[in-house]
Amino acid sequence: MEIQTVKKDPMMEIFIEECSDLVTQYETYLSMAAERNEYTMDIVNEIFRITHTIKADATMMLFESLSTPMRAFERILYFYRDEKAGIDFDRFTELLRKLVEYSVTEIDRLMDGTASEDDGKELTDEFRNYRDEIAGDLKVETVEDVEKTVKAESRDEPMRFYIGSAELSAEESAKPTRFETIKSDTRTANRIVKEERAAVKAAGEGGRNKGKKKTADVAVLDTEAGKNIRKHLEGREKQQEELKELYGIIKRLSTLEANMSDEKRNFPGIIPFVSKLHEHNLELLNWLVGVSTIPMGHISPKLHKTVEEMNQRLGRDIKLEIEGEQVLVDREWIDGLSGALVHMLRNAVDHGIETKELRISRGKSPEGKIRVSYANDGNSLKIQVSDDGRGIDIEKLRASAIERGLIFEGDEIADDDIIRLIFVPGVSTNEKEGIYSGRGVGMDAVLHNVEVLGGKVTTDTREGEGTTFTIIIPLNAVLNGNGGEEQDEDEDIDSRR
Amino acid sequence: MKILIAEDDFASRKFMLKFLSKYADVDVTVDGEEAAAAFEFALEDNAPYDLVCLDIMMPNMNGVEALEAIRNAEERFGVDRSRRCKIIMTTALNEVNQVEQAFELGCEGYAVKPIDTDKFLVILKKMGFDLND
Repeated sequence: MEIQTVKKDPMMEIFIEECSDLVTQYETYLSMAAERNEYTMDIVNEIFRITHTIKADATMMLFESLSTPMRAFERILYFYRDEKAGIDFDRFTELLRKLVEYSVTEIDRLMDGTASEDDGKELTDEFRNYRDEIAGDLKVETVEDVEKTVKAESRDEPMRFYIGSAELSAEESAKPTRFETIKSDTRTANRIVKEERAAVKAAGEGGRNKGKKKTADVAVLDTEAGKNIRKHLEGREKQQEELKELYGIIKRLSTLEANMSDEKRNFPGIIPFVSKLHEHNLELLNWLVGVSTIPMGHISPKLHKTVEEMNQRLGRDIKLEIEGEQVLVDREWIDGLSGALVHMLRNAVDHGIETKELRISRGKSPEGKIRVSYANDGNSLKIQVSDDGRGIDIEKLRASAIERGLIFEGDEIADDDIIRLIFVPGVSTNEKEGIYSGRGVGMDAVLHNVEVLGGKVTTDTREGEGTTFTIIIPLNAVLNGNGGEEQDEDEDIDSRR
Repeated sequence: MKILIAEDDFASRKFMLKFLSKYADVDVTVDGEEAAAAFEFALEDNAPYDLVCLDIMMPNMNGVEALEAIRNAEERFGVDRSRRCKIIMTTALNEVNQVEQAFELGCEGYAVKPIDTDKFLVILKKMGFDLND
């Protein structure tokens, strides 16, 4: 078997990862806006932030098929962000959904090395026309004001361009490697599951929500791109099978090696060959471990960046500690886990940890701390995210759940069960308190990502002391292959001996 | 248009020289120290470089240090931020941290070797250089 060393551009990898994450965030805000029937300023600011970041990253990577439409969309957002124009809910939602759909397709195409050739001209034109339409309804001075802001802000942006190596940017490298394919499939799998849940939920809740449509977070995958991805998914199991098979071969080789080792005394001549066999077998095993697992530390830069960005935006000084970065996980999992952790960190920074003033008045250290730890006990992967913040206000959560009709006043529900409600989409997103106040945002996404991997999340919270989320995912990955088939094959060899 | 290249590897140096000479006057140096010094001389002579290409792994002073030295020199000479020279790191290193560090220190471009010359020309244009031979 020919084994190729997989060369990948780390900047490209991180770009794809970040972009996919940001597009998922668009979907979150779309569904929040749908729930409220309006784009609040908080939501507009978040959409602006996402758009701006994707634009800047895509510009840096010279991916004009993404940066051009993003730039055109951002021009619309300036009017909304600076409250120069009101938002036409339906039309804006439609445009944003088109952008999400386009971005999902485009990110997949970039991974395949087949960026759209016209740089998303159709969509860009639509954005430009809409921007002109908005501008047309406003006073000339107002439009000039906005244009000045656009210019001033773009002048302050640093110029950054990145070019990957010519060796890698040729067709072979732009194509996803086998494991990148798995990665993207996981991402899509997560999304499919999410879509389906949303659809089921929307159908089931139709009556209770008085027929209010929850359309914003569905349907992206019913597009052409979505269908293609489903096709990809079917290939995924096969790839897993291939890895298992390879592992089986390694196991058989090592049995053979042991058998030969037993014969050393009778045939001293084979000693050097046995040790060579051992060496090669080890190489093979290391290769398998290397291609199918990845240390959790791989996502640390992203986690630190998330906290740093939130710190800057919210004027906080929260420390992030990460422990157990060396713990290896199945490569397939890393995307889902990374998404879940980012959501959890955002929540912890934004809501879990009190403001400096409040912390000082409560006799806590002013800055606040979040600790992420990974451990693998051989049976399961355990991830903990703890903060030393205010803890979850159970009574507030209970009240919010009653308000939403999830439980009834007077129901006797244990605190532990109430806490689980934070994983229900939209619970306790109280408008008066801003986007994150309810701690609910994204926690449903966290649960989805973890459940897709067969895991569960538990919550331990103490009012005033902090909250710890524990994710436990049973290991049934390739390398722990407790599967029976290899066992049988070993016995085959034994019986043949 | 004036370009300064710092590159310790002979073949890479030749390649960059040949590639860029089509568009500009190119000077070459073999390490970061020499590059920083050449840059400063040019500033003193009031004939600054428009573009500097810095390899990262070089003896004496590496490319990242040279990047800092060049930006410091510009500050000392009172060069306005909008008129600073453009700097592109040209290196075999493509670790994310390395790239981010270089951008933080103020380079405008980062090109991983072997250089993709088509894209290199694209970013030169985006940086506002006129590339008529």
